[in-house]
Amino acid sequence: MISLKKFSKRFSGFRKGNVEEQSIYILTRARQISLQSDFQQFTEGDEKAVGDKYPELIEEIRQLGIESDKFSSQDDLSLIEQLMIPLYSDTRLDVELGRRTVEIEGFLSEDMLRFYKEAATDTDHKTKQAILKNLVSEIWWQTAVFDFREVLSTRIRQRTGVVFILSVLVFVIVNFLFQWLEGWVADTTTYQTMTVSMAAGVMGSAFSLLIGLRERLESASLEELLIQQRFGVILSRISIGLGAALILNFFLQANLLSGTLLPEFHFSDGRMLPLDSVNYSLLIVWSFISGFSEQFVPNIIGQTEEQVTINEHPVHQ
Amino acid sequence: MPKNVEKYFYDYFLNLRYIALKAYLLQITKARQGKRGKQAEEIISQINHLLLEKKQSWDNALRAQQLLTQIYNKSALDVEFNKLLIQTKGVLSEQSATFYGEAAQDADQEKRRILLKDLIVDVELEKSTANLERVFARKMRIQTSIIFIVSILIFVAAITLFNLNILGVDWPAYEAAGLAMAAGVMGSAFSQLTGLKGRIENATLEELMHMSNYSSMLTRIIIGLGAALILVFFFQGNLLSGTFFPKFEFENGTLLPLMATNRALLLVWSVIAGFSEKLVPSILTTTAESVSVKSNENDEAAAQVEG
Repeated sequence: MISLKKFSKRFSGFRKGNVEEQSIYILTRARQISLQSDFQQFTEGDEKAVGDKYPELIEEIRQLGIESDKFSSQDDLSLIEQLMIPLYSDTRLDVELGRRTVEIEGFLSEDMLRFYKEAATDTDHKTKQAILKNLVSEIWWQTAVFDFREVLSTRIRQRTGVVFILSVLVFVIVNFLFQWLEGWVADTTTYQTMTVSMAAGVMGSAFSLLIGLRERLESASLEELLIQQRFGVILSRISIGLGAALILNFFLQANLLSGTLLPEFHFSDGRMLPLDSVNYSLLIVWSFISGFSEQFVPNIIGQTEEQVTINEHPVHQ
Repeated sequence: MPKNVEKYFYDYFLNLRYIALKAYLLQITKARQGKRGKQAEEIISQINHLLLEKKQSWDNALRAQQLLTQIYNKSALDVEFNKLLIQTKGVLSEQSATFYGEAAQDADQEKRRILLKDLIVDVELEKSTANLERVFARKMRIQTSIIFIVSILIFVAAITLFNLNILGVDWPAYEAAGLAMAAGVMGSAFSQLTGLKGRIENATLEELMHMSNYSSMLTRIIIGLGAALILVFFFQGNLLSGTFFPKFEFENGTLLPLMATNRALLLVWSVIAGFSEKLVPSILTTTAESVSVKSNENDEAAAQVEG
């Protein structure tokens, strides 16, 4: 039996090159040969009497090129598979139903699989035919869904990887830029801390996307994958990281957070003094964390907001 | 890889739908024994026209699928109906799903044909709605991200403007208000961005259409701007108490420039005012409630104390 996964390599020709194309050809050809042998049974073999009862159907299948040595198209093979069903005996229907139900396991929802399994035990010949017809067409459909998911997953992996590499590059460039500017511009500390924070935040959110990729791809439906592959979705997550890091920067400057190993900012005459190496690294780490954890800064904002109380008797200055 | 993989797969899915429909049609026309009625012949000719002569499209596939319901044998009708009922779980509304589930118990074949036809249309409608929702959600994501990035640019520009004293005048009051408004805008844009996922998931199609308008997004931004501005005056009026609030100092009735930590505190609280839509309105309400009108008794008591 050709497994659904192996057979689904149909589209990988444009993904992985000619070796894959060759194997798809071999697998599809195997399916065609199997159908040819079935068809022969109804035209010349033991079950010719059955074939004779349906001359129009036999002719229709013949016209689809079943007897040809040429490589049949996927569309024709799918149609032939479905057209052969009325020719099958009751025993053959049982075998096919059992085989196909196993083949599709893991690709359908639990409810749907249960429906097919229960329906396959029906004793009515016509019901079995209708079920098999649906199963065959479902297998083709699910195969295409599987392939589409693979293509989209690859695309999401590539895009997230590119975004992460870009974010690292931006971070490095920003650091170099401010080191270079130090010799030229007098006071860059405020901008340096802001920009480095934002770059680290972007890197943190890109890293978060990259780390959670496997889980997201496995649990996502086809529709969700279609959404996730959009640059807009990646951009919005990256923007959250950027903004979170910038806001955190001001929380740190205002000394509003308490905890171990937070960077300390020092001021003189209202101007920020350059950060030493340890504080600079701590700022990068915390900005990275604020980008990595989507809820970190919104939670801090929420907690700070709760501290507000109104003065009933304001002190006049 | 083909340039447009999505289109390639959509076309392939459509092709698969056509093959499944053609297979049904051919099974009915070529494999069914016995003579067909005039009405069945007419339907078959219509389906033939749709599937073989007209251009492949989802609309034509839907039309053919509906027509097929009228010529299915009893077994095919039952299988199709039950299968579709399971497929629609989570797609149809609870009421619709219950209606079809109960109606499916009906043994009358003609009634089941009509129900299947309706169910096919309902499912298509729900799928189209879901597609539209995805389009609007995508639009919203991009617009919100753009607004947020623009708000950060405005914020950085405002800081630069006042740091470099580009205007050439020393107006601490304007600086405080200007920076607070820019931070408020950024806070509200950040709030929109972080709440995007939840809002998209809970919204109906109509709500998404409304929310994906720039004007409705800008309304929220303006609220953030206004909230931050009002908060500045609350700080200046020393109306709020809390450990970490910016302190405004005055000399001869004029605001003195904010020192670094105070400026950072002002920015943080302005971001919060923009982020939380309710902070400033609740401060306003609480402050309004704390006011009571002076009565004569109070005046007399005050006079006695002074005396």
